[in-house]
Amino acid sequence: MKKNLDEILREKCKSVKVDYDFKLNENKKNNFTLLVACFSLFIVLTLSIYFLLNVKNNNEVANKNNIENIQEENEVIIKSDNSVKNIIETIQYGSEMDSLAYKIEPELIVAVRIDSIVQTTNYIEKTNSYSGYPITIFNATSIKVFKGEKTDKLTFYNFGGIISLAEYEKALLPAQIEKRGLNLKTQEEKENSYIEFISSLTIGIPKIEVGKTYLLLLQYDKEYFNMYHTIIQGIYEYDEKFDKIKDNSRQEWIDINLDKI
Amino acid sequence: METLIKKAKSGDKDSFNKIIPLIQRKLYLVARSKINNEEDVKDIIQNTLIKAYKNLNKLKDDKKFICWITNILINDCNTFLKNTIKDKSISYEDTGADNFLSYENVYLEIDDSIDFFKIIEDLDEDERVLISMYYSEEYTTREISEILKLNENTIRSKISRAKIKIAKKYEKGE
Repeated sequence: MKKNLDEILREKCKSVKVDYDFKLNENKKNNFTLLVACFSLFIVLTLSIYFLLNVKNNNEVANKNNIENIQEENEVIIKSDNSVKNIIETIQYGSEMDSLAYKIEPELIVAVRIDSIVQTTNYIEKTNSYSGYPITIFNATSIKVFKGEKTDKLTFYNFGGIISLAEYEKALLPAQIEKRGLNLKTQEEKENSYIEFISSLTIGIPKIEVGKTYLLLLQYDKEYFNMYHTIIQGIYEYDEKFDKIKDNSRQEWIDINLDKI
Repeated sequence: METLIKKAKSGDKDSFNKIIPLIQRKLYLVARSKINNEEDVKDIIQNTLIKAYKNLNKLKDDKKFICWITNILINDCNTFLKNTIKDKSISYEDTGADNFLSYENVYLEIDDSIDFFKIIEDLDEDERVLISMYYSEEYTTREISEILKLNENTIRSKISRAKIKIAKKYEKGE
């Protein structure tokens, strides 16, 4: 018998049953597993130390290899970067937040000059929680407003950026911390190693750099950060002299047509 | 529930355990919409509950508990997905305004053996979560709006879009 789709979805959804009961106490099982794991690790470490102390000639070499092996097992090194920060990994992600940001209408369209990078952070002060993906906050000077409220100075954020392992760790589950081997690193190592986050939806979109000019499509975030954020794919290089933007797919300078961007 | 939250905040684990049955179906629907594996869903919800209990003192407004814990869960699911496989992105045909209207009151026949998650499996991840939250009637529209950071118009248009996809899928069998 045919039914209205709303009715079908409501009925089917209501018939979903949760077959198990969650309890905080179940954590005991995890603690027990952790205890066994710690004990095993202790035995392995004790034996390793004993072994290393007895192999006098190759002590230094063995130690070095051991460190390298630990790193190889626990890190997915996609990219090495010798710039200022020790970026040990680049993560390309396509988050829910991205897809939402991609579909929303810009409230502010403005040409700006980037003055400074305020910070990159994954901490959300409003909810006092850490996100799995960071944002980068910029200060900019407005050159020309095409849509929305006129403003001279602007602080906005963009999805992605570089954060330290120590900051990233705060957003992870205990199992993820272990899987990534972060529990084997010292606090100092975590504070001096960085991960770069690039949204897969921003590929082909110019990277925002201090001193350069851009046309930005922005939406106000009143839920979390109380500032404007760029809409995904809403960043264009801007030529102030000729009032043109660079088409991100064809890489050609074009006139600004608000209906087409 | 707010009384239980208050007690749990002061370290009363039993009170938190009393909250869990009240929210576990909500959490399950969201997590199961994002992750297609019962065992993984179970682990993630368990982790979320532990994390929420440990961080309960950071919850400023007790009335927002369900939004707060659902956000933690969504973050945990995203972290899990990021570290396992990339979620498949399904492209769909662009649908004009006419299509939205013509599918608004669509009538279909879907076999009883097909469960809810099977029906929504081909939708995008955010659509699956939205449809689960909306049709379960476990979350208010305001809560959905707050958790998914969508205004009501966007919620409506996303639901319509998702329904079109479902309708197209099940119309083919006729």
